Amino acid sequence: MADVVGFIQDLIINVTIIAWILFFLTWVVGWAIRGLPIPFMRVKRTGERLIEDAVWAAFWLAMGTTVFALIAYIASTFYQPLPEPPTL
Amino acid sequence: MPELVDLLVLAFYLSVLTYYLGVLIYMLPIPIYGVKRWAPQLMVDGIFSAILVFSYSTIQWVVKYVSGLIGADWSEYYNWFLGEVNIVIGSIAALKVIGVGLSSMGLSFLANSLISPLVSSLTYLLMFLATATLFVTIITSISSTLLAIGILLHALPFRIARASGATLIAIVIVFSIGTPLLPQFVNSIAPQSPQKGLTSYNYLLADIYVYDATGDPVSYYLYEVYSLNNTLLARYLADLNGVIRASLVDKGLPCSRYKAVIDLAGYKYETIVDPPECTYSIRSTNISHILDNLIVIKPLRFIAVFNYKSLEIYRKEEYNISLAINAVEKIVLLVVSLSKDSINVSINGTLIEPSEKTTYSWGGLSFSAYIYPIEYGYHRVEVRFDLGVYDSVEPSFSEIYYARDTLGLTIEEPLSLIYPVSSLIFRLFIAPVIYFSIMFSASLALSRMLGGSSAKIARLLVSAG
Repeated sequence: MADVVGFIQDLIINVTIIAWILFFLTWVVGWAIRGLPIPFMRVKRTGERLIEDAVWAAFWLAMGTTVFALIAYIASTFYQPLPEPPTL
Repeated sequence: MPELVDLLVLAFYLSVLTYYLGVLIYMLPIPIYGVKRWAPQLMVDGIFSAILVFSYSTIQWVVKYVSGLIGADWSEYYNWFLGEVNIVIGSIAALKVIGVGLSSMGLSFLANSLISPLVSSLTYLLMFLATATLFVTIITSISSTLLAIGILLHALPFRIARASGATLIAIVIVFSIGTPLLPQFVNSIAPQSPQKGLTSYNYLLADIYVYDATGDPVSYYLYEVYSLNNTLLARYLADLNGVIRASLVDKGLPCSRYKAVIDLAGYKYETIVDPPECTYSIRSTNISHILDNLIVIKPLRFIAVFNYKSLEIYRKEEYNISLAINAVEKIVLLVVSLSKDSINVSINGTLIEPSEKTTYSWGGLSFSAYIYPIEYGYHRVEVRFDLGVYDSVEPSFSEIYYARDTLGLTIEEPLSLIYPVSSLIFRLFIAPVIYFSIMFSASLALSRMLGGSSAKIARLLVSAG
């Protein structure tokens, strides 16, 4: 079981690294498309959207740890011993 | 078997992986929005699965809390289950008794065509009940593991096993809460039938023999069976040979302790009988009684001695008897015969008159009872009967058959056998199946809430169920 967990942890790290690389790639590609010296606004807008997506994704990537920590915190806050059900 | 915590840790990392995969797809530098649509979905799935992982204890607590709130009690459920199993087993045994009885009457075609299918359906019912209980017992006893596995499946990326995971979680929750309420549901839609269950048909097939002090059979006695709280359960009249064939299927005797009253020409003997257990490998048994102060001379003519110290029979012939009685106190000799007979009693060679003579009627016949007091000491008594009626006469009584009259079992009316079985099938098969369907559809609805099976799968499962 520990092997599987370790494997998935490695996978997560790899995915994170690839995601950061992709972020730079997408950011570059996005700016490249946006800066193309062509008058096709549709193409240019695609580039813009790529940059936008990349920035948002980078935000969520950076927030990942925080998001899960928050979930753990809220879930454990909710699990409070509630009052016993009334007995008839 | 992996530890629970390992499963939950794995589920947590899987949900993290799902989240990051979503982010990765979000970042892809390709403008294909069909692929990119996966991104937010995967991220949300990851977060939701992580919430489920951390809610593991909360889910278990909610199950416990809601169970307590609606008064679910597992011990009550198991008591109900054992009670119902006993009823079914008792019914099978009762049907077997009836089947054996029918076969012994030469009605084995009835036993084969009617009793066997009923016994088979009760056996299937028993199997269903046991299997269903095994199923819910397994679900609830490994509910924590199942819950963890469900969460793990739910957390797999790309919604691979999300539906099955959600269904597993929902089934564990719903069945853990709902199953203990099954007895209440069954009792509310199928109330305990007012008709006697088949178990009350569980009775003993036995022949009854009564002997006198010399070991000769006593003829034409009336055998009454009372319950311990003095309710008359059965009344049988013995034949000339002193036998009651209560082993016939419509007669029978109770299986439990009863009070027997043996009435011979108005003189009653009472005893408590512990019949042999109603075993399920039925063979008819014999119940014998010995009346050790009674000597029968002819059918319906007998003498009885009361309060004696010792009794010795010298000679017993067709119409007379001579005995030696050792009396330590004043004792009584009772002679009973039909009124038309005449009696001669001599004590120590002297003919004596009775101190009391009573004439009465019993079973449509007229009897005379003579009482001879005997002083203490050692006496030789001779009694001679001169019969006034030589033809065999027999008393008449209306008999009460235990199976037919008291239990209401009639072989001529197959419905009386089929009805209890079908009411058992309704109670223990149809009603639980309805309840399990309700719980199953509730599980599906809950699993949809947990992001599980699509409506289509649910529809398919429900229509198949």
